[in-house]
Amino acid sequence: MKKIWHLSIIFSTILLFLTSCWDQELLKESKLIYGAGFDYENENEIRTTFVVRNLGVPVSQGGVYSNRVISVSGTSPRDTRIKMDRIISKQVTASKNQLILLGDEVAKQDIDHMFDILYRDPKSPLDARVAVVEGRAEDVFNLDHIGDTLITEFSTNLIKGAENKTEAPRMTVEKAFRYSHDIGQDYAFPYISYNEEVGSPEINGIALFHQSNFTGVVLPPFDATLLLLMADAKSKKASIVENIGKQHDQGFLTQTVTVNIQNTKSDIKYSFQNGNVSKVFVNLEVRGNIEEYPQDHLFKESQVEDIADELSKKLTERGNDILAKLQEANCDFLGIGRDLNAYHHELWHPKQWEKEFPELNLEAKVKVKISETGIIK
Amino acid sequence: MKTTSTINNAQLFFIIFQTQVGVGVLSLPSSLYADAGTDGWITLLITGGAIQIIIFILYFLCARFPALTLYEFAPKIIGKYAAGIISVLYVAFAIATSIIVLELFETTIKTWILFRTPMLVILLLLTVSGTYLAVGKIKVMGRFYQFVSILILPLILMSAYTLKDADIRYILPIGQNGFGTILKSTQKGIVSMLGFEIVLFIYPYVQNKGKAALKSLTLANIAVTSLYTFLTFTTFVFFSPNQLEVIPEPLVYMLKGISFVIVDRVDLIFLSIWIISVMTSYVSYLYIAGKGIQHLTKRKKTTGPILIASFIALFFSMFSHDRYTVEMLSGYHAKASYFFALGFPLMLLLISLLVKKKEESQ
Repeated sequence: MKKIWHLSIIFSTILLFLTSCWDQELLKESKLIYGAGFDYENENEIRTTFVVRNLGVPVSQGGVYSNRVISVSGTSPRDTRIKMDRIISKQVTASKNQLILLGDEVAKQDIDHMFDILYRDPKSPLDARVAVVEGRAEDVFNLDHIGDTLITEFSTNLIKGAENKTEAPRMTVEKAFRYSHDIGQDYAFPYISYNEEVGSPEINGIALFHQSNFTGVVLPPFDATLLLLMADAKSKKASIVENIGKQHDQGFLTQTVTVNIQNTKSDIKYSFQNGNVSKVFVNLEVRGNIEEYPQDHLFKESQVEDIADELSKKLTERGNDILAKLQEANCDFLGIGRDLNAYHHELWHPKQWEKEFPELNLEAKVKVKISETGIIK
Repeated sequence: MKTTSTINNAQLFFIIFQTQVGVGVLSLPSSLYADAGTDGWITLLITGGAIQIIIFILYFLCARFPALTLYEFAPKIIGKYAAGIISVLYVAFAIATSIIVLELFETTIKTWILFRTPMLVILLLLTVSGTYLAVGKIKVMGRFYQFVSILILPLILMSAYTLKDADIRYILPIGQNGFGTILKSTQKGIVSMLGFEIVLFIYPYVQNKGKAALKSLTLANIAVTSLYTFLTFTTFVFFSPNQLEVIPEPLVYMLKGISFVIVDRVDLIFLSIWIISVMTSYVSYLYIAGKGIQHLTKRKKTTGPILIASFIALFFSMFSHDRYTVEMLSGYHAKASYFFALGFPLMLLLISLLVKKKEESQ
């Protein structure tokens, strides 16, 4: 019994020394970065903008959240981080950062060089959202707040909203790492631009990337939705608005039909000739409900079918335009290279893929089916 | 033999299983990728088959001397002096393994979780708790291993969760680099799955010997092979091929990007559970070393020898080491381990078959 007492005293004393005192990071002693932006400064320098949260008076005691936006330039993101530490009084912590914005000029450079700090650091936030900004990321953060909402939360929610509406792919740092190292598949980030009229940033489509560089081509939100549907990446909700019908352009607000997509089926098929890919068919089948159709009431099934047929035709056209744009940008968003590697391995030439993709003969085919018309006919 | 120091077949299963699952699992995917490309995960299935053969060899050797450990039956086969050398080598090997486990543990913890904590503290965390467990009876070890094996479940669940972001096309077409490369990388797999050789030292304590024991061994091998194949498979379909080249610990890296509403940084939870698997391997080797020292010095209790072994391991693991030296050391260790897991037991089995040596009074 005495022995057990001795042992337990010894072990509890040892325990005291084993609580990881060296690595504790107290929230009160650190400043959290809530957003980071990168901009092109000059040939060898980058401008980094950090949004740091002020934690002065707690909200429960009547304080308000506020941000401090600081921007410095340096030769690398890490260099700017070190400079930042000299400016900010407490230890800066980036591990809770949820938003990374890239100016469009800097995005055209190799983003791997900027993200190295994020890939390498064990504490980096790999699940932070990444977006490209028209103009400079610095300018977006300098807006500080939109209405009552701080700019960081505002932008993050903007991106998340676009993701839910299938207007932008869910792109985190981790996904950027995955695709920028993959020859057989490219990707796109949400594209944010400043809306002068409203005085706030808005999602303005997706920025197409090739490997680790922004191609300069931006797809508008509607096209982005269609592209994501073709890539079988429907999120919670997806809507398509198109001009259709004979009465098109006759009268006020009678041009369009809006379809809320319920489910989709996308399939990429290949045909071959002389040991080469002769044609790639992107077949998309969508089933949706009519959300808005001011032109007429739909009494007969044939009317609905007519709308579906016309929509199919219009969307097929638009789909082909999108594919042409992808080829122009050399952005293999649909992962056709990956498909070839996996299912037609002998036709896959990883080294020439960059040259082969723009030359491919791509054809989109969209088929729309309508199942509901809302709670009226 | 007293019943208090025996283990049942379930405990045998868990001892083998937990000894095999250890430090190797983190770096396994990327080292397999380096050798066999995207087919690396298939390698593990073949490895499982190869290990099964080794297990048969070990089993036949043990079955000839059901009441003796390797240290005790080796003299009967090859004589006192040669057996002495082999015993010393086994002790050295077990201690070397403990050192490698300690070093890999320390570098991993230091790069992923505790950046500023002094090396000695991290090493002591494992040494103190591990030694305490190893000093206890074999039955305690068995029970502990059995108890902590439930923790493997969250590991599987966590990596299964990442499958939602997986892309099966990353590993297709299967066999694109040829069957030769798959076979060639088998050695990497075997090294990471070492630990089954502990059966040479615990077989006498098993209650139901014979077929039942063989069944436990086989099941343990199947469990480890499936677990490793599954974990490696998830990383292979999660990361694009070129990424696996640059990420040395893909399993942890994969979980780092996941965050739930309540839990952030799933990788930290993963590592916390992984630590226990590391500890069990460490304890097993400490036990092997302790038994050996006890036998060589003709002591009655194992407490002293195990303490000596753990001090030696702690001492050598304290030498400064970075990723590269540890990699180099584990390379040498891997080569040596073939002799200890396969070479020596096979030699002993062949000699004992030739001279028809068997345990008397059976």
